[in-house]
Amino acid sequence: MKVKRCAFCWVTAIAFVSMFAVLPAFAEIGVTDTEIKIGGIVDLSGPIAFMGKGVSGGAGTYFKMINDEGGIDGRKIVYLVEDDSYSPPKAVAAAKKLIERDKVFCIFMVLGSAQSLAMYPTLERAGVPLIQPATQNSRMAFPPKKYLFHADPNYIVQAKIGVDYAIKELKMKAPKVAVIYQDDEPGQDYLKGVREACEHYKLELVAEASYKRGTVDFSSQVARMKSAGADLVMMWTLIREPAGILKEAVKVQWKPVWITATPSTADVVLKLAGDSAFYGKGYFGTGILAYPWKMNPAAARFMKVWPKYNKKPWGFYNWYGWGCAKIMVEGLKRAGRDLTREGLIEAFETFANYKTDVFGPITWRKDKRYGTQQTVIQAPIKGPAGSRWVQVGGFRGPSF
Amino acid sequence: MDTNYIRRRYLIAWISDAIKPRRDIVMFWQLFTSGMALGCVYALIALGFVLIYKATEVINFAQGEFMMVGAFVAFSLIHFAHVPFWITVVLTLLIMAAFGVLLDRLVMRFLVGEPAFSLVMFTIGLALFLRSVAGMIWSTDTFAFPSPVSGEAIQLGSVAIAPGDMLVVGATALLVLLLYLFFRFTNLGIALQATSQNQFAAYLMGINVEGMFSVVWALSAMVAAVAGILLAPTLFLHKDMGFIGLKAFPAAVLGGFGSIPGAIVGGLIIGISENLAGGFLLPWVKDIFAYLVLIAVLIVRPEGLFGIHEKKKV
Repeated sequence: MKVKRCAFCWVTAIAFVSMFAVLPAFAEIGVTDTEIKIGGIVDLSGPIAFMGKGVSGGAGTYFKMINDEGGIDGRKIVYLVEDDSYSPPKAVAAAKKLIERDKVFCIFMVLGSAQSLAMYPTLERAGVPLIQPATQNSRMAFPPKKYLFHADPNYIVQAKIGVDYAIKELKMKAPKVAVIYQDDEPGQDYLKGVREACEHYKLELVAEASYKRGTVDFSSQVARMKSAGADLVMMWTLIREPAGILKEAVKVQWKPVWITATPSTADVVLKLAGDSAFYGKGYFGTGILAYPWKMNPAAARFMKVWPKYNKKPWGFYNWYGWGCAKIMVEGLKRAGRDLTREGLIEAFETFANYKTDVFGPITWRKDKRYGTQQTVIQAPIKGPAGSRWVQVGGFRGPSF
Repeated sequence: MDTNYIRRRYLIAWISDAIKPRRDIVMFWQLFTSGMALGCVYALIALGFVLIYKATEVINFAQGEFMMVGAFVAFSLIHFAHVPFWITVVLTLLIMAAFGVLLDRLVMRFLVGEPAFSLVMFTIGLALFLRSVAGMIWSTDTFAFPSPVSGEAIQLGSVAIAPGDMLVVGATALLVLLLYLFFRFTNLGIALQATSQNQFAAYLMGINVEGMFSVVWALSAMVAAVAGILLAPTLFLHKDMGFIGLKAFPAAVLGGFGSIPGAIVGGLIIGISENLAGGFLLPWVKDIFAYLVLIAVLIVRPEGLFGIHEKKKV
């Protein structure tokens, strides 16, 4: 009996050890000889579902193209997308699912800063890198976090670039500045940037108006800014709000110069705003992407490849997702055949002025996790198929 | 640059800005008129709350979603079936009336006599359900809704009034007048009043109480649809637009839940006062002002402005 039990123990032990022995020495979770599993978490059913569908659709198209060209070192990319309906708790649950059940190699493109920050501790514990959260929040890269790589210029920087543009290019002389922002973290970032810019240029910040997410009526905010005599309005808004604000300005016959941050530089804003987008003395946006019709090789390729995989015409967010995917693939390529999570982090740290032709040039180092500080300037034009945003200036960084 | 220095400087500027007396009379009237337009929409949704509550003692938390569905129905008729605007309004009202009746017949009928808690949970569930279904049918995007009136704002002195706002106020006034005439002079209206005053007595007097329930659901769905059609041109169309019901609810309570004129006055008070507070006090006060007013009124006059202190006799 004693002998028997002992033998049983031995067999179990040998079986246990051999289970690990058959695994190849360098293999990483989520990587096999033929595929690399990548997880993405975006909003597919909530308030910014169109963004989530757009960015994940754009990234998915880029990955499909890479796969059809033979993949990366013979491995195909499997892109798993989870829906979080723009809710941080759901995003954390989705991240856990991707890591524990789907066993992904890394998380790529999480839509929203609150979502990204909420899941970061989980990712750090598991040692899973988060590549390119789709947000422009300053807390993504400040302070730098080992497992987080962020490309976009944040809103503090965008506000500075916006005021820069008004002073230097639009030649506004000592404008009275007003700011309207959504009262949450990115909005506060933008406010901070506008304040710093006013401080730098010695401008008068005459009104600070805010609103809570989901606000539909902006009459008091607009009345406040108008009454303060503002002629340059810096705005951090999403999609419905800028249209509501612009329409309200038409209603009270007020014509300032409007400069908006990236989230509102989508064509759907112009569709909602209608003619009110052209009512003021100018409407500009700091765009984080080179907009495709400013022809560059990356854009040409994007526009050629897009119809092969998609029936719908491409949009701004597809182009953004495409750019993010390009960064991801470049990182995977640089990490080489012996792909590990730590190796991927080292690979991203070798990025030095890497030109995607989608974002501004991207640099990441051990102590620097923000990719670029440059944006383009965009403005709306009227076209036959409705108004759309076009690029009116090249990539520029803040001058201070 | 020293961020703390900047923050301190702006904190001081911010406080002095908040307490600075403003004598901008143009701004006052501007805020007053646009607040009135929004207040009318609150009033219409509050009216829907009140109608259903008076007759059936159900608080319908899906009232905002009724409005959203009504607006989407109208949008679909205009956009996909290319029906002219005014015919769309009539068709939408009929569809929403049918929606209200069906909801009552198929669901609410079976919940009569259930505890109030179950009914409240049901209507909250209904709101979620309608939002999700709307998302599936019409997608989660935001749409621009055509306005029946257009053109430049009308100048009254130096106050500019948008034609859209005037339409909202005018339509609300008309609707309230029609409802008044309906409740005052038609048999159906009087029967409805009787039902809401005392169901049992109404039943004994030969009034079809269950039928009255259907009528009142239809009526409040129609009022909600009007609110939706009025709201959508200025504030856009999306599946979450029903959240405005959260502002209309204080309006209904403010007026004394169960009073029709109370709902109208409550809506106007909330709409105008929050706009003025947002303009003249601190900008962020606007978002909470409805609830501040509500708390103040409930402390001073718990039954609401127009409420009657009722005692139930068993």
